[in-house]
Amino acid sequence: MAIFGSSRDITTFRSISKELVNDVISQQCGYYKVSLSDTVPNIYGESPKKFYIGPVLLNCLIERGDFSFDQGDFGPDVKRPATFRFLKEDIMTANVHPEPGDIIMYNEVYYHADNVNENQLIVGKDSDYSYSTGLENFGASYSVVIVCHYISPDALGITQQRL
Amino acid sequence: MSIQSTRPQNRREFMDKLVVPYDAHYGNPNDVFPEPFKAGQPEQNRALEISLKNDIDKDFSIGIKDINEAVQYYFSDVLKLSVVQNNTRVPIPIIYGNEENWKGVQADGYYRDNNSKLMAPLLMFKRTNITQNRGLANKLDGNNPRNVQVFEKTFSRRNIYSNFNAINSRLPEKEYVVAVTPDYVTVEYSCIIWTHFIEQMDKLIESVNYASRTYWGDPSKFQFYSSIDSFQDVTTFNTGEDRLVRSNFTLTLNGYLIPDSINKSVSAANRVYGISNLVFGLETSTEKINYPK
Repeated sequence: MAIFGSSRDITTFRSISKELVNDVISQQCGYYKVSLSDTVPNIYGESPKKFYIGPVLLNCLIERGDFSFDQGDFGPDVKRPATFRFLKEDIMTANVHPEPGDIIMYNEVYYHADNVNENQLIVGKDSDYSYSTGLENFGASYSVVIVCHYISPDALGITQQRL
Repeated sequence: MSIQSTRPQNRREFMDKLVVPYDAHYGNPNDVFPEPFKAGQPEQNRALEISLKNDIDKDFSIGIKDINEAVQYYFSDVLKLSVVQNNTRVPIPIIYGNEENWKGVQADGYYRDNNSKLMAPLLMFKRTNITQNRGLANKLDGNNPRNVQVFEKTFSRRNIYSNFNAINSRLPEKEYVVAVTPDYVTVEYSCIIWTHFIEQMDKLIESVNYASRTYWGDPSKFQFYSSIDSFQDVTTFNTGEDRLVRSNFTLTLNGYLIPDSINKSVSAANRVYGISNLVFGLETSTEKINYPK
């Protein structure tokens, strides 16, 4: 039987976090998922014609990386990492299941999800995985952190930049 | 305005004083050696110095740039590579590798998005190697090439119509352009095609491969025999980076070079003219002509 991190503590954590993310900071992004039922892959596991679900508007905390220019044969190319942090409750409410390959749009720039981390647990426990009686009311998974990189919109087929 | 009464003699005026009389012992006085004389430098013959004023022909030289332009021309104007992307046929920009930033980012911004990120498809080529081809003819001596090629021009302004020429049945003279035998070289290019999808890449490889073993270049300028042996597919997808669909191939061109250097122009005349005949017959009249008083 745990002492800390009961459902009352979790509710307090969640309400403060929600107010902070949604009402105080209020950074927003659009979340795209590839519609698997509509997008037909070819033999190479790719599809030049993709169909998306969304965008779903989500509140988040955004850690924007710097633009970096890498010199190559084709000339300087731009790279930019970005990390998007979502409250898990917001994700579940929006009925979004984050996975690598999803697309996040922020300030008209598109980011490709490389890593999806659900690794912030209140008092280190997740109430969904309680192996002893009484622990199902302690701890919670708190956030989903998605590490992304900047991707050209032409590759996605969402907007057309090359005319 | 006063005319300058004294001035230093120019080279021709100075040498003219030595011309008379011609003496076999001294040779042709028109052969002027560079001063100071340098071993290995060709002699200078003023008889071969022909004015090219108002000449519209390019001095016969073929440079590396001409070969590069032939490749560029063939990619952009003959092959006209394109892919279908976002329901639009997108022509593929042809760029020379490692260009300056102002050109790549600012002048050619159309293949970049709002944040200057490169957008596929793109084709890059750059010259990697020039090898002498010694199996073909050569100029024998770079200092004094005597192995020349002569091309007859179909039109010469020296044969332009005039009443005098027409009345006197002047035989038109022939005009020849003389060029030294070029250096035959094998030029290799490293080419990279970059697309978003392998499906697009397949079509491009088919097009480029079909053009292998043909003559590349502008038909109105120079054409060079090309060959492509293989295409290496590079498809990678590293974490934090875009999926990379690229295909590398080496383009080999059989080219030739005639430099625009001084020893080439001095050692061989680039323009010679044939003999023009103008025959004046003797016309006599026995009739008495009464001139008006």
